[in-house]
Amino acid sequence: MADDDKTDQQAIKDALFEYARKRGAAAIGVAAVNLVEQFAPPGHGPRDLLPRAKSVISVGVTGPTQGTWRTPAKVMTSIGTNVSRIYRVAAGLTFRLERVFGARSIYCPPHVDPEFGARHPMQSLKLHAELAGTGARSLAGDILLHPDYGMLYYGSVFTELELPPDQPMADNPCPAPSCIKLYREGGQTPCMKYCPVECLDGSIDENGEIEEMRFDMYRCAELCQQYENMPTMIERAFETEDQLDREELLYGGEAQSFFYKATAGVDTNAQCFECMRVCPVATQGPMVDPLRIGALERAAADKD
Amino acid sequence: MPYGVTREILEAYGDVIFRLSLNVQTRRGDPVRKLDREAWARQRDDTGLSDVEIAGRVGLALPQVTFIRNVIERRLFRSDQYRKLFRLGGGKRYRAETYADPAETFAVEPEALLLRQALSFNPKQVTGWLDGGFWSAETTINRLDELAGEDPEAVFLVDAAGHSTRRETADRAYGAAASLAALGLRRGDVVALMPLDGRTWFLCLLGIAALGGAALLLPQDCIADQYLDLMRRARARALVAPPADVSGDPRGGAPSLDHIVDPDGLLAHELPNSPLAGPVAADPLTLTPTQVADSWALVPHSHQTVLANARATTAAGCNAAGLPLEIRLWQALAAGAAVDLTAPIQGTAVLFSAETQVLGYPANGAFRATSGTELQAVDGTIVSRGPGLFPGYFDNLHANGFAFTDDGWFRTPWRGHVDDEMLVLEN
Repeated sequence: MADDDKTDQQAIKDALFEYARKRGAAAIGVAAVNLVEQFAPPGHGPRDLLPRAKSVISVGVTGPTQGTWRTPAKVMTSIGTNVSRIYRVAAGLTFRLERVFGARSIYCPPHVDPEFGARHPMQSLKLHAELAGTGARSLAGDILLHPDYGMLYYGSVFTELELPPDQPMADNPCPAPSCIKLYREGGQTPCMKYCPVECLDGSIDENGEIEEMRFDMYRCAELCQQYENMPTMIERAFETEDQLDREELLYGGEAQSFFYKATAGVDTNAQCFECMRVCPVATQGPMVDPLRIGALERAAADKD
Repeated sequence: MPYGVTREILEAYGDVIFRLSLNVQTRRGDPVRKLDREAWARQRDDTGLSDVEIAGRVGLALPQVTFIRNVIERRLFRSDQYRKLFRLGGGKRYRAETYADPAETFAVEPEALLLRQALSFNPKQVTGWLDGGFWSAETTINRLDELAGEDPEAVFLVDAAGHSTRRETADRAYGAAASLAALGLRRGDVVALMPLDGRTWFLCLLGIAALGGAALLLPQDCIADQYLDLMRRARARALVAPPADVSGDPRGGAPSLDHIVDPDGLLAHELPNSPLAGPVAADPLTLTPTQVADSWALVPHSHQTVLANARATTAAGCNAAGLPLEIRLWQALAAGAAVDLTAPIQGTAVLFSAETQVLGYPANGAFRATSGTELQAVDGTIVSRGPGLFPGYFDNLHANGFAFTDDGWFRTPWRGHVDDEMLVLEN
């Protein structure tokens, strides 16, 4: 690649990043498709979706407000997500790439592969983000963390445009120093200790880095996915002999609220933030706390 | 057999497919971030494979792997976990040792369900009793807590050997409840209580109440076979009796009986580490044996019925002369008074039966019905309904058939007529 081309590509990348940030992106990075394909399972690389893709743009939007982190779980699970902002940024980028830069682009579907059921993603957004340097895998079931922005919601854009790639993070913000201390004292980090379904385990080496992360995703799914809920309720309702048990299974409080969420589409079916709620990176990173950022901004304005 | 997968194939390959899938993930180090493809490749099986990769590893077709994996996921999925979140947040974190699943907390044994089914009240009357303040959410045990909170050092139980304050009484009751819970007894279970001397009987009764159990109040002066018959019919799971009073193995005559509990041991138990779920006001509290047509019948009462009657009688200034001990206890709770077994009881006879509790008290040469109680005379028999009345004999269709009129009034043992809400007994 000629130097002029590199300069042009860097300018395009900068323009795209600026556009994405204006639309709400916090972290943004680029991974080369060739690199992603080296790690993606067969059939799940970017070129399986966009055959001439050259770049993956990973964008992350910030998580909840400080108020939300402190709410009861019932509230947090209802208003804690920020996925809609991801659609806005990533879908906007694809149109921008095609219209302004003439490169075919797609918004990477974040959902499951329809051939394989409810727990088999079409693509790994984590892999894209990790290689693009927008997040690093944590002890909390590989949830990605960013040293400044904490827990982000991620989206990926595939484009036929070649862009200068970024590097993965040099350091992993997980485990945080306070988590290492707790692990040394009690054998568990806060995320492991307070998981309601006890799906997390792992170890930290003598350098304070992740030695091993163990994650029972099928347990986490009992809180965060619940795709088996509806057929399970119906099957059990058929099986039970007691009319009141059947009515509880189909019309009880938990059943009704599940059906409400599943059919009305007004709320997320299942969310759980308990591991992130106790994560110092997720809740206290320098760019995580809107209260602190606002105070700094006001102080800077006063100084000027 | 989808895709030719038999049960045998599913059982044989299910575990390995599940372990290789994304359901169980183990990652060592940080190979992707460090672009260490060799280290990443070495642990691919542990980080979770796609179905295509699994099919290549185990020698099954892709649709077969997908089918088996999804079936295993569905079998392991627990749909009762999301409720764990309902009490978290706002500073509260999940702790396995303190979490109590409401389905388990409020579950009752099949035997206990029978007793609950016996608590069948007329819905219109229930609404009226709640609206009228005769019934509330108050239980005997949280009333005791309330009294202990107001004045912990006030004397509550007195016998010849000494006294117990309100706080001591509550602590002993909760200790006894913890002891029963440690035996595996739970809410709704029937615990038979032998007649005991002095304060011990009251403390044991309150301990059963604090557990959320129903106390079968065994009467004095029965022979062993009669006790066994009562415990068998009540489906009692435990008997509280001094070892000296128990001969042989009562379980032969009362098969539901799992435990024989020494009252001294029961009352020596320490307070529970975490609060017990305890009863709600609608729960059964006592089962009292009574004679109906020369045979025993069991009279159930709930916290709501006993407290409704106790409040009504104490509000009327009705003395407790001749009343059973448990009624004195409920009246003491309602009035915030003490039960003094050493003091002679002054008072006049009231109309009392196990079914009605205190139905009326003397006034102007007749009897005035306790507040909330309705009376009628039907062919000279006084019939009644009210918030302190029992709902029907436990597991005794025959006795219930005779005991109630077609429209749900209880035929009391008294004959007379009703004149301006006053009950005039026949001479």
